[in-house]
Amino acid sequence: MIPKRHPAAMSGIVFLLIMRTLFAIFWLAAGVNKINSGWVTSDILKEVFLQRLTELPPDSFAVLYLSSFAIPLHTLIAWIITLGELYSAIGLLIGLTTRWSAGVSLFILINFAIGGYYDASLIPFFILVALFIYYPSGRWLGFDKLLHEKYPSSIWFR
Amino acid sequence: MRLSRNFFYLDRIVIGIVALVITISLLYSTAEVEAGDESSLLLYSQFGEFCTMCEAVLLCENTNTKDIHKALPQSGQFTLYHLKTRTFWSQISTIWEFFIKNFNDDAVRGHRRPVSIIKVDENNWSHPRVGEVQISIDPNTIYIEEKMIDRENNQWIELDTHNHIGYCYRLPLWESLEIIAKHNP
Repeated sequence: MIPKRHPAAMSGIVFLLIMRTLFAIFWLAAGVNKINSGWVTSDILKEVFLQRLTELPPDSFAVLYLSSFAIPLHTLIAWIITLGELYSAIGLLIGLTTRWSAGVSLFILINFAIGGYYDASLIPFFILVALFIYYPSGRWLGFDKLLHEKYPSSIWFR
Repeated sequence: MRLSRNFFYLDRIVIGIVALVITISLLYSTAEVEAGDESSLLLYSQFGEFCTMCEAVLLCENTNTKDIHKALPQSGQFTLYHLKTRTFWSQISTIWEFFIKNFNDDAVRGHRRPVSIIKVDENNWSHPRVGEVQISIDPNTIYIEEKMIDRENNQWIELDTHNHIGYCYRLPLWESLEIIAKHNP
């Protein structure tokens, strides 16, 4: 249950929980869309990366990242992104291993950014996942509260 | 026993959220992906719309025949449109666009971004003039000031009269930008 606090702190907690839910729905939609689009069962991600190569400045780090890492390993990356988004989405939505879920989101976002998909829309996402990692929002609302009480020394439910 | 009782009495909100996850997952798993062939569209992108950080150079010229240019000609009579990346706040707004598009595919019908307009008359290259371009995905059109480009057949059209005035083509980006920079140092 959400702890009772000063009204200002309480507003912050409620705001963060709403943002966590919206972020999770966004991530869930992205993950399910990738499955529906055949990301993990076809070469679609390779085509996406190859298209992006033509749009990036040839001497940029993103071109190096895509051509030497992302394109050769596109199948593995498709799985990591899709499963990562789904894990993060569910974790953040139900408050289960919440901070780890946010950590996985951060990892995916960083890779989007350095892989040539950076734009200003990532800034709010970076801020939000930093807050989800910093604050124990899963213990305010979610399964982490119950599991942390049961397993207080476990790093997964902190 | 105690643990199972704890789970049974879990906060209703958490249970509601679980139900929400299942509902959304079911909705998505049954949703059909519409995949029309849009790869021939001018400024086609796999994500349905010309991407946020993408740039493009379009060459439009007064002609009645499709004469596709593989590279930016050094001279001739044509107009160049250098479509730039979306502005900062326009990029931020893509969060909402992507979000709502997951639930309503028709919710986002296009966007605006800055464009640099250069008129070339033989060897005379005008200074770039900054304007605004509206890229629409329904219908598939591009509006730049008083002109419109049909993304399906590349026709360049005068907005006032709806007269066909020529055709537009997408040029290789980086080579074209180099040539433009040489003419406008």
